[in-house]
Amino acid sequence: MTTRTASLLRSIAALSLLATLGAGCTTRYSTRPPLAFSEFVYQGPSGQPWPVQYAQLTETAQRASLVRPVRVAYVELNKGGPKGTLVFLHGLGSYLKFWYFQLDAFAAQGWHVVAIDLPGFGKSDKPGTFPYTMEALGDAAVELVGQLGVKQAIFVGHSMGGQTALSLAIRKPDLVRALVLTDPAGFEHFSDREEEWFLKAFNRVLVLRAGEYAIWGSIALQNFMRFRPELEWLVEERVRVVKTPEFEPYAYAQVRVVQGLVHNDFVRESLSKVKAPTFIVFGEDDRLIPNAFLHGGRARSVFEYGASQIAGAKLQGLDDCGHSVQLDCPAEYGAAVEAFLAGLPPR
Amino acid sequence: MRRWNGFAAPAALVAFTLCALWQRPARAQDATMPGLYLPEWQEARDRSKDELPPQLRLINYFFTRATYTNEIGDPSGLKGVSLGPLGEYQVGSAVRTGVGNGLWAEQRWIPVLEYSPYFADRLAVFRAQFRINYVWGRAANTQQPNEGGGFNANQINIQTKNANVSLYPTRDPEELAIVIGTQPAYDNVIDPLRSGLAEITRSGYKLAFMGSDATGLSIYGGRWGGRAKLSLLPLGGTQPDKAEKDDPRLAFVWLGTADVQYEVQPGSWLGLSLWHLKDDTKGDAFAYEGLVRSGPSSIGLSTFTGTAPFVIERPTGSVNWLGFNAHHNLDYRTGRFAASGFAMYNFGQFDSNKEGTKLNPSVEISGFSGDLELLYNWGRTTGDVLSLETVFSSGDSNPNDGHYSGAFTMNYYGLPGATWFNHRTLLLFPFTSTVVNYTGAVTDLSNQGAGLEAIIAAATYDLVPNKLNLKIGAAYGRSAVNPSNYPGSATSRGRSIGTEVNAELKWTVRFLMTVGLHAGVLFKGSWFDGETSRVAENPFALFTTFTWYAF
Repeated sequence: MTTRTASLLRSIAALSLLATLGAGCTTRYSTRPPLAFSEFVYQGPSGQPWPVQYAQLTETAQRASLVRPVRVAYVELNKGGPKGTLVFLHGLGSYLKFWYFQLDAFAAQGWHVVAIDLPGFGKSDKPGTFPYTMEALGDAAVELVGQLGVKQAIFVGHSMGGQTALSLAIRKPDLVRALVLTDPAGFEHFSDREEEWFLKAFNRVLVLRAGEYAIWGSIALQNFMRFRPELEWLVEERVRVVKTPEFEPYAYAQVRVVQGLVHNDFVRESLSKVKAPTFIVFGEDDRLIPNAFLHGGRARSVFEYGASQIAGAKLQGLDDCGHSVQLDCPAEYGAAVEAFLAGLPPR
Repeated sequence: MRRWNGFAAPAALVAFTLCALWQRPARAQDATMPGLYLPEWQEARDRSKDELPPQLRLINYFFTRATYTNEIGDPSGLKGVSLGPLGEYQVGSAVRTGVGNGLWAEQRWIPVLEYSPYFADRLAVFRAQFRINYVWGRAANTQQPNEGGGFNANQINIQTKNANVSLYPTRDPEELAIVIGTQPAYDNVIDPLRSGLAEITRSGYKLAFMGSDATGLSIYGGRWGGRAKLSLLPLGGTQPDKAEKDDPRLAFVWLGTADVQYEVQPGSWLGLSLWHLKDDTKGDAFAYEGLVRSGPSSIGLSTFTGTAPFVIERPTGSVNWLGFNAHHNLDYRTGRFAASGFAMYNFGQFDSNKEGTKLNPSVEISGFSGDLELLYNWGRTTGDVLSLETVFSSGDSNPNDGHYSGAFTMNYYGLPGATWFNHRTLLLFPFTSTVVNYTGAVTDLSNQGAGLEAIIAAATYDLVPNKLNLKIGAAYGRSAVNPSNYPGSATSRGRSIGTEVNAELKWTVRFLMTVGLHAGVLFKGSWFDGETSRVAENPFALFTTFTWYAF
């Protein structure tokens, strides 16, 4: 190679790398000040903050033998909405703001909207000794909606929230008018050894030590097919909250939730007992279901199984959408859910 | 176990990658009456259901490969091992085509032990890796490594790969790690004892300059927005003047490296490296004790590794490397585009210590090499990727002029000492899923001193997401300068080494357990003109692999 050729190639390489790095600018949020859960601004795309309220769950605390009531945060919109109540339950590792596109939209359509930060998540208490099973989390939601005077509701659950909603529909059928299961957990089968492996691989240090690039992966890569700048608040809030004192109890709560999930096959083995009208909506390109490490394969196969076990369940996959389909593809998701709700029998 | 999203998943990702922390049995609930303060404390601070990592951990790497090929090695001295470039002659592995097809299977087990007793309280971790290589059907009762797959072969060889202690003075391995002992020696700033090989082979210098084990001291640091590494490793030692001067003193090959890498944005890193090697062994140290000497004057080692031997006797001298590396979003977390690359300039000089030598009295080194890889994750999984990579190194056309203008890698000191992993070819560059057979048209970045200009393209697709992956690829390589004729041949050689096409089908049986089918053919170019006896046919190979990383 001549010196001239080498110089040319050097220049090309350097320029290409610079162009590569420049073209894909990614904001570094870890250099910004810490942001506590309590400081998160809960709002939708309109920028109008939602009114965050708090409830003291005494029955939940008593069942868990806690000395203090569990304080949970929630957002309630359009109270008395004529169409009925929609209760939104978020997934593991998230909080009620994951319904960013839905709360205002469904309230505007006449629905009474309630979204909850479940115990251990978001702005709610994170007591270390809370059971953190799907049943305990569901019961907390039941106590809250009871305090709000709701007798029956449509439960909209995402991922772990979907499994929580299923548990409620099985255990408390009178409370559940219908289910909207959004990429729900609870359908995929894991053997006892797979569950144990999960249990051993997941602990507090892993939550606490995840770096900013790893957080990008868990949010943008794992949950989305269409991640875009308007969703970067998901990354920013997760990165900035790490440095706050609230995060360590949160990390432990996540460990406890995983333990609660691992030891619970109740929902999967009781799907035939769901009597409420059920709609399963999912991203066809869900990267989290089925589990990429233990199973692989296509998401549809898992959700088809779930639909086959629930009498009358409707199933709809959304193309080019990921696990957090309500954030990834809000228009398609909204249309699909609206169509389902429109077909429900009147109260 | 069910599914989650959002905040908890980063930890899960790390867990899947490292699988590093095991649980201990949960503590039993006692029957103490709560009394004052205890319940509040339990709700706020009780972490008894979180788990500590185990004190002792075993990681297994198990690999089996069956090969059917017309690329046949004839290893001299190293039984069972085939190393070196295709068409090499005189000594070394002497890999050639045109003598028929061969079929064999080879197997490797690498157990990794990691022990950190609780009383050390995160201050120190002991690690050891061993390697058991064998070729099916070869007798066991020899003293050679890489044997022991034959009938009645209870006696399997075992090789110490490395054994070391990592000290973590701040109790945070990412902040400061001091590694003492026999350890992985890679051309990467990342602590290899705490990182996956995939991360190391895709960043830094991709093991193109150094990828083996050595004994010495390394220090890794981080947590300041970047990471850094300092290491001091004696690569070889001997008594060069014992015979002539009855001087019993040991002389060494010392390698000192300094690397730094800064994360300019999440997932995007820029790095600088400065390395220095000082060789006082006068070419007497061995890369393979009693068989192959090391250093730039070692003809034997060069034929095994594909470097260009310097025309010099009893050399001492030094080499320096000044490198730049960068990588961006290699795991596609911040977008679908990824890139990596490096540029390296090596310079230095070796001087002959033989009075009246008729060869070069000194050889001045000045060579450049570089790599650029671009990747696009086009589909649902990270197994859906288009990649394009180019690699180049300057060449040297005259070994007798006292100048060497090619890349200088640790293949001048190890057997092999540099193993570029990331190229995705099977024959143009050695297929890296291997045990003891490491052959290709080009086995060192310097391409036997003639330099290299290569381009590699590949497309992968998960036919079944995260289960079944198909890859098709193509590559072309040529030398940077015209090579000299083969010995005894009047035919001029050209620069074109050849064009490879390949395909691979990989089935993920379980996480980190894969079965692969790999096939490729290399349409040889004018580089092999004049070598009709040793490279009589276009090389082809069919491999089946079984790989299991068992955590």
